[in-house]
Formats: sequence, C-alpha cells, structure tokens
Amino acid sequence: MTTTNRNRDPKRHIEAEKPHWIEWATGFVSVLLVLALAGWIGREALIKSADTPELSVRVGETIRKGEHYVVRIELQNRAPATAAAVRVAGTLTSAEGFEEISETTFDYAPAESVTKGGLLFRADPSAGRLDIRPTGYSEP
Amino acid sequence: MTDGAGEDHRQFSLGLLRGAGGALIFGIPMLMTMELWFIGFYMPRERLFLLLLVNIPLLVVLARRIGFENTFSWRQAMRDAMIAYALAIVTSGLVLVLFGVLTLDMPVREWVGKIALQSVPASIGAMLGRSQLGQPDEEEEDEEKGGQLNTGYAGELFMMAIGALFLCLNVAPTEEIILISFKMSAWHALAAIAASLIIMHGFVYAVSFRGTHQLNEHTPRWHALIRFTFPGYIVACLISLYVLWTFGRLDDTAWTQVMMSMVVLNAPGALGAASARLIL
Repeated sequence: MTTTNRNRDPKRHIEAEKPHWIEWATGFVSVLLVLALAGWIGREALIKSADTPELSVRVGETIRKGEHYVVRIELQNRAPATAAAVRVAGTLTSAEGFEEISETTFDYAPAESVTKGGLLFRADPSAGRLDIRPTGYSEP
Repeated sequence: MTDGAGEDHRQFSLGLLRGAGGALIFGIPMLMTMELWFIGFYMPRERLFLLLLVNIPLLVVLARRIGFENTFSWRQAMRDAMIAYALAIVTSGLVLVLFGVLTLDMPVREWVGKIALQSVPASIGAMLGRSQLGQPDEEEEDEEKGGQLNTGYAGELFMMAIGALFLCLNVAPTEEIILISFKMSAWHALAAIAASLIIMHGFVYAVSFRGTHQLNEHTPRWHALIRFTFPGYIVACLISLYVLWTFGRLDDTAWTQVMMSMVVLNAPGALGAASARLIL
C-alpha cells in the first residue's frame, strides 16, 4: 500500500512499512519471471549465433479472385537471423511453354518465423508448372 | 437559475475544454503517425473491439482517481469516463479531417476504424488533461479530498498498467519497434531489460521529481525493488504483449522474436509505468 499526502508540497507518496504478504508474493513471482525472461534471451545470446537467414517458400492453396488466380505462399525462415526485403519470384510455365512471372517483396522474414503472402497469375497455375522461390534479401 | 448552478456549469464546461486540450496534447503524436491510420482500417475488428472495451474500465478507474469533476461515486466516474471517451472521439475525428486523413469519399468502415483506434490514447489524454492542466488550488484546497489518499497495492499496479499502455500505444504501431528488435542482439536485449529496471526504480525512488515515492527510514531499499519495481516491469511486459498482439505484431512469430519485441516496447512501457506512479 502507498499513502499519498496531498496537502504537502511537493506531493509525496510513502510506501507502507508493513506490507501485506501478497505484495511480497507478487514481488517474488515477478523477480522469477524477469529472471526467466533474461534466462531465455541469455541462452539465445550464448548458443544461437547465425548471421545468414535460411529461407524457403511453402506453396499453399490457389484461389480464383476476380480475373486473377491467387497462389498463397508462406515464407519460412528457419535460422535465428532475420532477413529484410525478401523477394519471392514465381514462374508459371504453361503446357504450351509460355512463361508468366510474378514477384512480391516481404518487408521482413523474422528469425524462426513464418510470414504469409500471395502471388497473382493470369493463367490457371493448376494447368501448368509452378516454380516459386526466394531470390534475395537485405540485412535489417 | 441560481448562482451555484451557474458556477457548476462554468466549472463543467471548463473541465470539458481541458479534457479536449488533453486529448489534443497527448493524442497529437499518434494522430500524426501514419501506421496508426493504416492499422485503423486493416486491423482485425475483434481486436479493435476488445481494445475499445478494455479502455472503458481503465477510464473509469482513472476518472475515480482524477476525474472531470470531484468524483466520489462509481456512477459519476462512469459518466466522466464516457465524457472523456466522447471528447477523444470528437477531437480525433476533427484533427484527422483537418489533416486530410479522413475525406468524404472514404467508406464508413475506414472513418470508424481510424477514429476508434485514435480515441483510445486520446481519451487517456483527455483524463490526464483534466488533472494535469487544471489549477491545483481550486480543486484541492476547498475540498475534503486533500489530506491522505491510500492507494491499494492492486491500484498501484493498475496505475502502472495505464501508464505503460499509454506509452506503448504511442510507439507500438510504428515499424521501428520490430526493426529495432531485429537490429538488437540478445546481449542488447539483456542490457535493455536491466536498463528498464534501473530507470523504473530511479524514476520513482531516487530522482526527486514531484510526486516521488519514499520509504520509511528503517525499510531497506531493496524492499521497494522487489515489491514495486519488478512487478511493475512484469505489468509493463503484459501490456506490451497485449498491445503487440492487438496490432498483429505477434502473429506467426517465434517466441524469441516475441520476447525481443516485448523487451524493445518495454523500454518506453516501463518509463510510462514509472511516470504514472509519479503523476497519478
């Protein structure tokens, strides 16, 4: 508990001398939580050090939206290093040999995380051969 | 109309103006942040709705503490909270229209989303405007509210939560928060945790600001560290996580990355929590 004396200037707060046990309980639980947080991050600091992201693209379902076919993609980064401005290019080769190229840029591919996006094509991707891969990134 | 009623009306409209002033002063950094306009229309509606609901009890408790009027009952606090919220909505809307961020050809969904999101920090600002911009002599000398005010432990943590929420809302929407977390190594993060704790403790106990906290002479200094500063940091952590989740910064993100973003956001969050203990 804290007592505030509003008549005095400047305003002062005085903490209670004999606090309720719950204040101590909360305090110690909080100390444990902060230590756990520091421990987790400290472990990362000690054992995980990679400066090259490991990027891969998982191709999801294809949906027809208006005049385009949307191919949903998930950009996965398995390494503990973050990549920025990741470009993903998809090449759709039709049975007749025509190529259609679509591109997108992901602002970030955070370390050990998945980011979602999509590529748009005019032709139906299920009728041809689709190749989607990350083509480059920059360090944040 | 009696003189007393006239005086009441004058006081009330003065309170309204101060509230609008507070909403402006505290809200303008966010009203001029582009990410908040975008987030306002694309963020998931259920998260926006939850944020708007969460804001109501925060405002009611704040009103009970500092109030537009001399608030004594919960009913009055509820009324004052709603007035602050309404002032914030009107002020945010007017400023966004003034800046050309809201125009007539935009859909209603966009108008509502943008104003709703901005009204949350602005309403806290409206409440603070009333307490911090007002003249202390007229409200504190001639009423019994002066003298001693006891704040329960939960109340103290609650004040820290409000302070943390306000500062987190200020900075969390910007891309810089995640960018900083990408630039920082784990060692930087550890240093940031330690720095936040030291700043929090120093703000409240060591640096003699107005409203500084004191311990009784024979209480060891580390008691306050454990009972108030550490719990305050954890409260700020929870608020940071909530705000990051609200803005969709945690979706599909690894735990380590979540914690790094949280630690970054906690730098301002902890500062907000500590200053709330001084101001409120």
